[in-house]
Amino acid sequence: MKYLSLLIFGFALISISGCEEEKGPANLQLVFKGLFDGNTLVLNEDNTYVNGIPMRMSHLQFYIANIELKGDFGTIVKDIDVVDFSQNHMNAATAAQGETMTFEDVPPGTYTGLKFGIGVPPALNSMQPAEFAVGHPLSNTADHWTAWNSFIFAKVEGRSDEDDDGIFSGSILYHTGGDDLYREYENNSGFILVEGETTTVTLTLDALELFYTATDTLDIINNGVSHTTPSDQVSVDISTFVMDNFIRAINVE
Amino acid sequence: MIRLVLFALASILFVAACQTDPLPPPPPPPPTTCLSDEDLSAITYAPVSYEPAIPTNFPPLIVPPDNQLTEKGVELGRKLFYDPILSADSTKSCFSCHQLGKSFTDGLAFSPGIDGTLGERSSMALVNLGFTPGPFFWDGRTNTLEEQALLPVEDPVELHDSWENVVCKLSNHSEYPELFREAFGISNANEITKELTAKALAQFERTMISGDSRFDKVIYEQQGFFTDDEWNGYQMFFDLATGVLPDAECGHCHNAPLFTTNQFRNNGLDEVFDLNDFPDLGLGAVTGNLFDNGKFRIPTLRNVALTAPYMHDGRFETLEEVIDHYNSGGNYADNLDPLIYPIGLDSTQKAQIFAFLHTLTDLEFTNNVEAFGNPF
Repeated sequence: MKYLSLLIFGFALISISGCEEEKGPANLQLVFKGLFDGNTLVLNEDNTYVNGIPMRMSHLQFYIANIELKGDFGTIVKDIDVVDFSQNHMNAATAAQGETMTFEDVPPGTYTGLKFGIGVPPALNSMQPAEFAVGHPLSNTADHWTAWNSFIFAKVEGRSDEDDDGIFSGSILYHTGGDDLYREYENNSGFILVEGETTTVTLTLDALELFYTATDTLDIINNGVSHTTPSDQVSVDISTFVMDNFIRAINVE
Repeated sequence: MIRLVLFALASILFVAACQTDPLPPPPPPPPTTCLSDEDLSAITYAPVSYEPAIPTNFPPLIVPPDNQLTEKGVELGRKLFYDPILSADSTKSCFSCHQLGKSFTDGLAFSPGIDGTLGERSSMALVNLGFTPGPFFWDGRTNTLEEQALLPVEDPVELHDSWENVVCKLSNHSEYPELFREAFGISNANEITKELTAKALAQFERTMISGDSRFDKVIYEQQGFFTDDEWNGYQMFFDLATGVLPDAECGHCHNAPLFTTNQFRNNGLDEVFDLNDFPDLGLGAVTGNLFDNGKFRIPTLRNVALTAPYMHDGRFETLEEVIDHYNSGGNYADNLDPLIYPIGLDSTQKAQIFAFLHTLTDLEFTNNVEAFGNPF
């Protein structure tokens, strides 16, 4: 009889604990929303450049590396990925949603901000697409440039209409790469990840800000194309300018 | 009393028979099948993995989990590829438009189907498709090689048969049931399907690997040298000699080692001021996206000297015409690729690009009758 009571008590305990709500891991959604001069970026739509020239963005993508959630127990949730604005930014209906990366099973807690690289870190950049499994962000030969032996860190493409006649005859193409152009972005906007819940952190990237600073503006008419050719200092300078501007162009929404 | 009841019943039947409602449609005929029910279970099924020789500088081969390459699967695919049994009148096969010596093209701008009707696009080279994540075709209409292999059979300007008929022919064939058994382990001839047929074709296509050209030998294997012209062409192709030679802008879309980036671009073939005006909408007809109109798959340049005529519509007969087109900057459209602009190559430089393109010819591949030739 004594043992029976213990058994019943044990079952009761198990039953009560079994009724507690099970909580899953914390998830983080990192959303990148493309902008152009503060407005939602829609690829191939007419925009106006800094100096008033009509222009269109047709493609925008960049590698994002070592995505770190800052905090006392900060953690790197992904070593490399691609932010490609041609997924949702091709039309106005979906552009406002941004491009989403989801990180599952992240330790819950309070984080003090985000940190990540823009481009491909040297250790990975020394490798070839053929060394990565199919589907890996670095497996695509379209994003590797044999001439530099480097991945293409960022692709900024579009067209310009210099004489404002409605014909966007000018090419805009800035492809950046090479170890020296790897950059790091960091913010101090804290967020909390709760067990069993998905938290969304939204960043914006204003494409227009890639083209200018307070003192300089890229000449998209006469220097509209750059492949970061190592032997061409002008080309290297343009790509350096663009990569430096990524840091300023990315902001917390 | 009994007579009264019988009369009443007869009257009801008569009235019912005289109703004017339309008769229901006749039931569909019972499914007829021409499939053989030959039992194959006594035939040994012992799949052996097929390991193609992949150049070390190539990316990993893309093989779906449910269609791993086997020796018997590849063998079956090769046989099907060359067998006109896939066409309605048994006159044409995949081989008709994809010939080994031409890097699996046919030398025509548009290929005639079994009815003599010309297709609307030039046949694409079947080279290194196993490294292509897709989509396939000039317009990207299928996502996998298996899906790709399904379409030509029923295309009215190609093999113009029905899969139902083709499967029946295969099921009743004197050899194919056994070959399908050995390749896929089916236990009865009635288990042959179009999906299995496409899988076999895709397996064979994945073995068509070309990576042994002079370019590969010189650049990757350090065997031999380029001529001066080839070397200069190589430098311009990949923009390796800035300040000395112009950037011909080729490598961006035709990057090594596959010499395609598997993307879809408008390379300036047609001048249009309204994106709806392209004579062939290409990718746009598949995606419905206006800015995809006039975009086509970037083809590989491996063996390009063997694959004339060029472009999706075969409009250029020679490589010289192709080089002239890109050198000119192409024709305007709102979605013209930004890499297409006047290059400014002189005649010597164009000839050097031409010379370099010829280094991409892989005769080890196009002469490999043992692996890729007609098994019949």
